[in-house]
Amino acid sequence: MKKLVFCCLTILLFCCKEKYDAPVNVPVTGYLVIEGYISTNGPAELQLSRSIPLDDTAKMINETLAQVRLQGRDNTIYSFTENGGGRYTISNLNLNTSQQYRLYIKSKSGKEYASDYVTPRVAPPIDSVAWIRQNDGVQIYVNTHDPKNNTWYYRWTTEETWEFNSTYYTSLDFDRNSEKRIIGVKYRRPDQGLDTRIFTCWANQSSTSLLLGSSKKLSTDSIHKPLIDIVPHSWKLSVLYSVLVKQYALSKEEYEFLDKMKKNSEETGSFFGRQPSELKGNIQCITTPNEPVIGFIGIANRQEKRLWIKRSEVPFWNYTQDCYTYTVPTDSAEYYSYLMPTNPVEYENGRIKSYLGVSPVCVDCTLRGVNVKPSFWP
Amino acid sequence: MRNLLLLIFLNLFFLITGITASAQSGTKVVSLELKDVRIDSLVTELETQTGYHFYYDPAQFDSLQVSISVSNVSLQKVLELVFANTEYHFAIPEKQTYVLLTRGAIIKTNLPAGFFSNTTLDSLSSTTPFYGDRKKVRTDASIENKLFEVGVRNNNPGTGSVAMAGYVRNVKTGEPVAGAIITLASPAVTAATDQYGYYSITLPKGRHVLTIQGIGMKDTKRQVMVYATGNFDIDMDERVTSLKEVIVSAQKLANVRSVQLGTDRLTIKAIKQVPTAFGEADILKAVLMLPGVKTVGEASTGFNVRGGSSDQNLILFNDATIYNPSHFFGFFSAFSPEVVKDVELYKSSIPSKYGGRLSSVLDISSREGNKKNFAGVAGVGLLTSRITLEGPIKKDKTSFILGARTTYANWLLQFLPDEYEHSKASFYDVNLNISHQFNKKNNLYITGYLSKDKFNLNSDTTYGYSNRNISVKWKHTFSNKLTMVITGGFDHYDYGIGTDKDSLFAYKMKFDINQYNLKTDFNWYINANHTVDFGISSIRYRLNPGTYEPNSKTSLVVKDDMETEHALESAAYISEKWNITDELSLQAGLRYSMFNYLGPKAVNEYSPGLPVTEDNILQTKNYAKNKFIKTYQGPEYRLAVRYSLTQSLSLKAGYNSLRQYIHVLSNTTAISPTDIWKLSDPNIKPQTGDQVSFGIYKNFKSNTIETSAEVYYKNIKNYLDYKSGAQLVLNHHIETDVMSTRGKGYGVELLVKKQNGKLNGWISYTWSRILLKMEDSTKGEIINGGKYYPANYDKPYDITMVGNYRFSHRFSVSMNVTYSTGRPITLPIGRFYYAGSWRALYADRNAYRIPDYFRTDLSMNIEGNHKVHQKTHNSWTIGVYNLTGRKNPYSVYYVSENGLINGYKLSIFGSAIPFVNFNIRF
Repeated sequence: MKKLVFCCLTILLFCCKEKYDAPVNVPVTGYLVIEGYISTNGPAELQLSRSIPLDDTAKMINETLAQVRLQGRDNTIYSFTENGGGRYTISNLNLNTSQQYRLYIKSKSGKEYASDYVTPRVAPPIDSVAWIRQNDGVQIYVNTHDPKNNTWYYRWTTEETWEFNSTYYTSLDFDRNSEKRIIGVKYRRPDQGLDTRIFTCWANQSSTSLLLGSSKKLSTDSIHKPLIDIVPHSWKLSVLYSVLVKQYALSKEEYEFLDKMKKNSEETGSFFGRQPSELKGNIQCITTPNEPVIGFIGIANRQEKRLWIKRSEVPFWNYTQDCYTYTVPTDSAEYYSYLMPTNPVEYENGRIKSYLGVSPVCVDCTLRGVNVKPSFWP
Repeated sequence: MRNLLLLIFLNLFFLITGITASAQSGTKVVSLELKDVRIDSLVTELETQTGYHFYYDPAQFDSLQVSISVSNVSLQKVLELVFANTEYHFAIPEKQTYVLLTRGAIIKTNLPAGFFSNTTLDSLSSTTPFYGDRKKVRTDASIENKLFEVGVRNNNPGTGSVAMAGYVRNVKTGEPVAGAIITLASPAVTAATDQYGYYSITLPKGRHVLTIQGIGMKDTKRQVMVYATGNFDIDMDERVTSLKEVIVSAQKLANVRSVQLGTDRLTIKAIKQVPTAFGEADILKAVLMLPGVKTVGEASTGFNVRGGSSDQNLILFNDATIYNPSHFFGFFSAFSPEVVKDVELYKSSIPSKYGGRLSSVLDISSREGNKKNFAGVAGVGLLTSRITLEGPIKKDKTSFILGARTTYANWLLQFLPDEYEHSKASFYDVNLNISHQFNKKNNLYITGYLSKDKFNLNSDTTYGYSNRNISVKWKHTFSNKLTMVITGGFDHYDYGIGTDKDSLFAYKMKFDINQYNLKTDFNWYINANHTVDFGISSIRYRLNPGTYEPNSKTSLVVKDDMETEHALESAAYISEKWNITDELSLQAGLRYSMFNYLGPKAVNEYSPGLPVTEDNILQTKNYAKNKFIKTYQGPEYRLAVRYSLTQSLSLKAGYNSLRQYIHVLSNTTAISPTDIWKLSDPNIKPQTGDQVSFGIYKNFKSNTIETSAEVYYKNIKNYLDYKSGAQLVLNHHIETDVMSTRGKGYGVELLVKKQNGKLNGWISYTWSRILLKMEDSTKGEIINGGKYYPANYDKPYDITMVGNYRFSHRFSVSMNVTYSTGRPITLPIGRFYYAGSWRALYADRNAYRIPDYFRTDLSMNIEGNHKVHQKTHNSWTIGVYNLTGRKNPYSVYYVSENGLINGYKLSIFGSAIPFVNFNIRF
């Protein structure tokens, strides 16, 4: 009886979970993914890649050696040049806003793709990118309006860059023998001074989620959109912070396409799975009409605006870094190799008997950023 | 008994030969001095004195005690004195020297009025009783040969038609027999009893033979002489010899003769034969075996009828609306099989009195308690036990039936491996029906229903849900032609989720729906060709869409209370059944329904012409209490036509339209106890649907094999589907996450059914599609390029076989086989890098399907002996569920693991499951 009951209930509580490979029909080469922007007056930049199967660990498959052209209804043709890594660019376009243009792509395998014809749009500039203190943190927002009331749909991307310092200076480094084994510590510089090269660095972060906005519910085409929330005490504001906001004016269809993509990628299906939807852009494969193509082409100038925030502008920011420190006897340097040597603590016979070891991230800023100053940095 | 047969024979002989007889012929004189003697002494004395011979059944007269003192009185007079004021009768045929003695039945020694011509006046015995006024324990065969008079007898009944009405009852228990068919061969007139066993039929005046057929009852006949409008109750015998008789439909001819199409009726006896997972008869599982009905998923009682979603089924239990008809993840249906009498499913011709759901009405009626004796049934299974008690509260007037069921899975869960040690599961349901007869014209029926489920699966989160229903029905008979039923009731459903542990995140969430309903239904039987039904109904809804609150003092959960919704749904209807000719019948109905969304409520308004998204909220408007916020209304049409080509072949066509004002919100692939219901509001329009159907019905081999083929096409408007990433629970602007789609469904349903005999059962084949379409971008995102896409429950092919073979009265084997196409699913087919992240690439919505479903179940029913007079009857059900052990997928889902998106298939039953069940009847 007990056995019977047992088997009965194990069955009850969801017996079998098995790996399931759906009989999905996806080409190994994947589907073409087109991302980028085309200015009415200015540059154009496209990134072509391929979708990859779910169970493939590949990083990214870029679409190379393709012919990419912008074709006007008036038979004007602008060709993109390939810059490697699946990037195709035109440095300067000057399109006629009364004309219609489409994107034409011929892949290296000979497949042809074309977008719908789209009319170049005149995009309003960004009015301002500003910030406020909110809940102890900082919120960065954008304000835009279109005096012609003709844009209504927007997308933004952000590129944040910030300067930061290591919590500890260092003058010491590990001393290694010819077999690279740690045998002690040594000064980094002959003058026994501090190594400033790993003290100041810059880090950056680009937006990874789709930032979309619409002013359609308003009577005038004017929008205020929070873009970034910096959490209180964040390292981003420890020295100097800057964000470059790029604004794209969208058509309604492009907005809806991106909105759908945004919602689709929030969840990839689970036991109580959400209902995902198909993503259909305005680009078709001419040679195989049923082949999905991911992307939406719109033509409008990209607008940019940069914002700077100094540490002094955000009082009581109180950025601190969690650092572990320990006074390491030099002869135990190898054992404590997970702590970076910073400064001598005790000397013995002119030699360093012990030193202050600190968590590496608190010493070497290149672990979190780069020590090359960006060109635009003051 | 032999004497009795002889009597009948003689009686018939006289009728046939036309010999006239009269009670006046006993002119011989006798003298008697008897005290407290039995019939044999009286007869011996009389036979000696008169030389007449007496025919009678001594058993019938064993309780008669005769005391008489007469001298020189005619035999006629003596017998009149002896039998005065008793139920005994005598007859002395003219010119004969014998006497017939009977009890109850009267022997007519002459022919009834109108037998040879309309002008012949009758000379029937004036002592002919009203049959319906008598009390009996058992019908006897002679009843069928007895002529009953209906109406006040007069010498010249004249011509024309009159109405006759009454109850058909089970003679043993006094329970009404619903769905019994009363047929008059010529002219062809039929009538069916309603759920109270009440019928009304119009007959031409004169003498007729009525045939009565009832579910699980012996067919019987009645001879009536109709003079005027009158009552005529009929008692029927059960078929006691066959406890497990399969009668899928009582109405052997009903499928061919009835006007309605797309209607299936299952009796509890048929339901009990369908093998189920744990051996317990399950009403909803049996309904799933019918053509055009598809399951939402294994171990779930949600079902789809002709491409309708599971919330488009109105499930009524004695007119109480049941919102969640399942227990324990749907492993059991919420109705105790012992209390249920029968189940009727309307797929196409939905009677005008029903409304409020688009796809179907599942009308479950419970039994009335035994009005004569106390009785009970107890059943023991692996997971549940149940008991049913019934009996009279006041004999022949008031009876009750009480059913209760519980599970002891909780106790069993401790045997599970440690990882499940904290799991708990329990449920119970209680059901009480009381019926009371005030008098012949007034009946009262009270139904109470309570069910509760509670479970947690090895987590500190407890789920629970509960149904509570009460309905009170008063049936009043104005006249034989007009009856009225007033039904009032309260229906409640709630669920709750909560964490028990005292933690910072302890919460509880609640949802409930309450409805008060009142309706009045009239049935007006004008004559044999016209029957009119009409009535009004009203439902007041109070729905709490959800409360989320901390469950302990330390909890940091912020209370979120959704605003209560109020609404009023009202309807008025009228429908007529018109028998145009014998071959052609028509049923036409009109229902007008109105829905008022009531305050107090804050309602979001969206920019007209724009997608309903949070970005487009214009303002939120507050409405006062009981203010009419939004009213939806419209007519619903119901039409059915039947044309009989022959007695056993008919064609039917039907059209119906329906409106639905309450919707289930569930975007889970599995059925979940957290589904919430939503009323239509200014932003969510009611669903509407209409359906055209056509059917051919043919019976073979004297109606033992029924076949039917039905085709249908339906349109659905404003069916709710969900946007990507919809958030349904505790969403204060739910309209932004749903979208209304258009749907179309079509299909063919074939059914072959054999009702009687050793081998019985049915095979059904269904091919059907249900497709949805979303093309209006102002209402939401366009799905699959605005093309039609299959709904989540579109399963084109479905084949079901239910078979039962009775080796003997005590042993039978049942088997069912089910196959259906797998459910559609939207699959991620890849990933791509866009706007700084990896994103999943989905195929078209519902472009793929999970693997097909196939299952075979086998069960054996072993009865104890069939002696009628023993204290208890017991039976065993032993069987195997999912005989082939196929791992039918319940769900297919994807999870992200180590940067990869992996698919998994989940099955609930991964092997064959044996079961055993023991039933005892007392």
